[in-house]
Amino acid sequence: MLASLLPGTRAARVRLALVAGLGLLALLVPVLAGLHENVDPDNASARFDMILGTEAIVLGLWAVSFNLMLGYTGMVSFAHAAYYGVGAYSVAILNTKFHMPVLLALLLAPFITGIFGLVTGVFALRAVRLYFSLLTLAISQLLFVVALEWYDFTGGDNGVHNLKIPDNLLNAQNLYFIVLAVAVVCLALMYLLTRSPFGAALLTIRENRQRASSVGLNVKAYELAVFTIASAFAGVAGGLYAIYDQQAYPQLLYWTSNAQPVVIALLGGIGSFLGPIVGAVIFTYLSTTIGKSAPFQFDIVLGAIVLAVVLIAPGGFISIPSLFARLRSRFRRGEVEQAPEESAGEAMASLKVGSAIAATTQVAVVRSEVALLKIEGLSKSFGGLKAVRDVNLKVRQGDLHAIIGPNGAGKSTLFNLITGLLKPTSGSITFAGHDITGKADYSIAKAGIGRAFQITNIFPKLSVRQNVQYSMLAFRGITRRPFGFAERIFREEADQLLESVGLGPFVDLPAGQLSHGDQRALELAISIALGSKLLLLDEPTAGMSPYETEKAMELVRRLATERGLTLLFCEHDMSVVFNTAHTVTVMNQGSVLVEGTPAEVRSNPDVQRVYLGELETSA
Amino acid sequence: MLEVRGLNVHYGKSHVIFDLDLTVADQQVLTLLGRNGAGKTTTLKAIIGLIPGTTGSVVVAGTDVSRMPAHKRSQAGIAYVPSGARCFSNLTVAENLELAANRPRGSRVAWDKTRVYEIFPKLEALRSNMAAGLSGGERQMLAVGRALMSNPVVLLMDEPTEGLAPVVVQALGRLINDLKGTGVGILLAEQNHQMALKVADRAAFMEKGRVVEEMDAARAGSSEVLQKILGV
Repeated sequence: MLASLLPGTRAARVRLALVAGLGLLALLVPVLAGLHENVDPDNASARFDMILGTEAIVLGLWAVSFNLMLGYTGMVSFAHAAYYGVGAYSVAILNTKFHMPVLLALLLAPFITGIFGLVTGVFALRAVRLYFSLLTLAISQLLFVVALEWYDFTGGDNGVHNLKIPDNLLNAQNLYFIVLAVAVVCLALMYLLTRSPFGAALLTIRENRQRASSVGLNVKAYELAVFTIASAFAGVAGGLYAIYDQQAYPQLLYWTSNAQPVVIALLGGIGSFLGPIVGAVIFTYLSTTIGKSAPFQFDIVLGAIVLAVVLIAPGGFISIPSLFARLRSRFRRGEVEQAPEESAGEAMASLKVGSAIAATTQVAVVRSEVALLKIEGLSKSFGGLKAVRDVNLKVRQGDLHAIIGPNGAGKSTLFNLITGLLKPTSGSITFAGHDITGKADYSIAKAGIGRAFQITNIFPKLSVRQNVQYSMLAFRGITRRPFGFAERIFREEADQLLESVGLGPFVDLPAGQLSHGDQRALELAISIALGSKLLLLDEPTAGMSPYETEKAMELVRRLATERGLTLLFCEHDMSVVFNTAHTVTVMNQGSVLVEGTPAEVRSNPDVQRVYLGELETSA
Repeated sequence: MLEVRGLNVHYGKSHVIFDLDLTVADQQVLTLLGRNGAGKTTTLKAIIGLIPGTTGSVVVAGTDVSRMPAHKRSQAGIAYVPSGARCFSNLTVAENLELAANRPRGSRVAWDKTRVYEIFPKLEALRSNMAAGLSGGERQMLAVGRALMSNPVVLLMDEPTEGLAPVVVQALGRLINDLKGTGVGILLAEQNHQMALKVADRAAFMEKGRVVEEMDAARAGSSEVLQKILGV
């Protein structure tokens, strides 16, 4: 009876046990604190223990909000302490200067902090990665100096004290339960956010920014959104701090304070939602035991522990059970290990062209007399080098159009111009009647131009299914939803498509563990899942065996004839080009040398000279 | 001369290369053919010492390098041209060549920049350009040139023709022939079996981490193995 209610997988059971354990611990803190005082009345005080519990909860909340950026989106911010500080000041100032009850002020804190996050985030997100981190550092210093110097409003280096706390909140136990309740609500909201389509978008950004925008995500907008949301929740944590410590002071905002959420998240594990909470409990425990007996050595001990965790269990404390499970299975001899099915790069060979076609939607016909893609006078210079010069090109809908030419002829640059990765120096690109010249890559992707990359470009730590599912979510704009469960949307569609490209057995495997050949099959599945009108393929058959090449090109041909998909592809395998393409454009030194049917191009003496060489005419 | 005996590779729990034996004589090209995932790249990386979890013996020009790290193996005479011809993209062409320079070995012809520029005149023209800006064919030349700078006994090439235009593939074939004349042995992993069999002396076919068949290249082109393994 009970067994049937338990989740099926081991990992899910461990998670459930952890949630239950943490919940039970949280509820029992007052009881344990009382017990502690009774057992050791000389040294322990129940009130002190309960304040410690309160502190752990606030730290956990703060670190989880930090991890929305670090663990879920791959953003390293040094300004998170500043927003925590802004939250604390918001509550303190609203209470002391505007005589607002603290709980009402707490309700406003996330909005105030969120606005701070949004405005400063706009500036921080002008840059990416390291430079983003450096900008957040500058922002945090800026806010710190404002808090320190604006005596009239913030109280300068004295900070704000003497908050008016209602009597019932002065009781440690009442305070504890109110903080717990607020934290549980915030954690639940954040948890739901991470499971939503919006959360799925964050994961794709963490895994591969470039690919995320090529499936239609406005990466910067999502990063700004998560930065703002994380700031707002940091504001709640800061506000709670102001209530239980009854003060706010500039040091809260100082950049070194940011070490706390970082250390807590690393200790607990940034790879899971609960990790930072576990980290907060451990951190609080360590700081009261070691921090009390050896206050000066505490930082050294803490540093050593963090170092050990990162080296031994990079997934943090929360990953230790699975680490043990793995060690145990390694040392247990005589028992046959159940090795996971391995991907051997044979997916393409078992490609079911018919069902892949069935899983693909029909492309709506744009007016047939206009070219689907029209490029006029397009040029691109890098410094003095003209990589693409005055290119004119028309691609008809439903065509299979190959672009060939020597290495360095400008094919990749042309593709990058069409998909918006590069901005042209001059010229125009029109797609389905709309001018897309110089538009952002994600909006071009949304308009219906898809791309499969030459170097496989997937989301390595997401499962094979999630790769397809999340790409579909992003492309159709569903990732704007901060509610609902991403895992449940497009699941059947993704499975059906993956089955048809031969990846059926690997849907739950992290995509990075697929062999190279199978990653190419996944890349192709992502591209057709989006339902783009025009698909750009960069050497689609590179690294495939002749049999796989034949299968892949059969799929491509049928997508064009049966589903109205238009294909523009670069390829060096001439048998593929001449057997598949209807139109061939030859590029050389940045410009179009000749365009025509495969037969015309093949017999052109210029093409033979610059590209084909003395190719055997065996086809 | 390169001799590989009983090479086994484990990736974590999975055993991926099984008891592999290979011999590449001086002035000989041995091509390693097989489908995607057959273990060609893994074999090359294991020989140059880039994969932990490798057992078996690798002897190059009489030196047992089995227990040496990759850079020592390179000094002992194994050069590696990775797939995709990855170069140090923020260094110039000349710098890419210089950093690989090694002492000449015995009586062999010594390679230096001048000789590399002789066989690749294009690289000389590009010598102060950053490697990042090179086209695919130029990068491939640079990667081969860089490998030669270490005065190798044997050259391991991983799918050098991938992504190259037909004219460049033909030129690469001629280059491999010329290189043989200078005394090096070449182990060539390829998908493009037509090109590979044209330049190779011997061919080894791999399937699922094992060499299943080895024969003269001249015979391989029309063999059943080629059809069976590559699905031609």
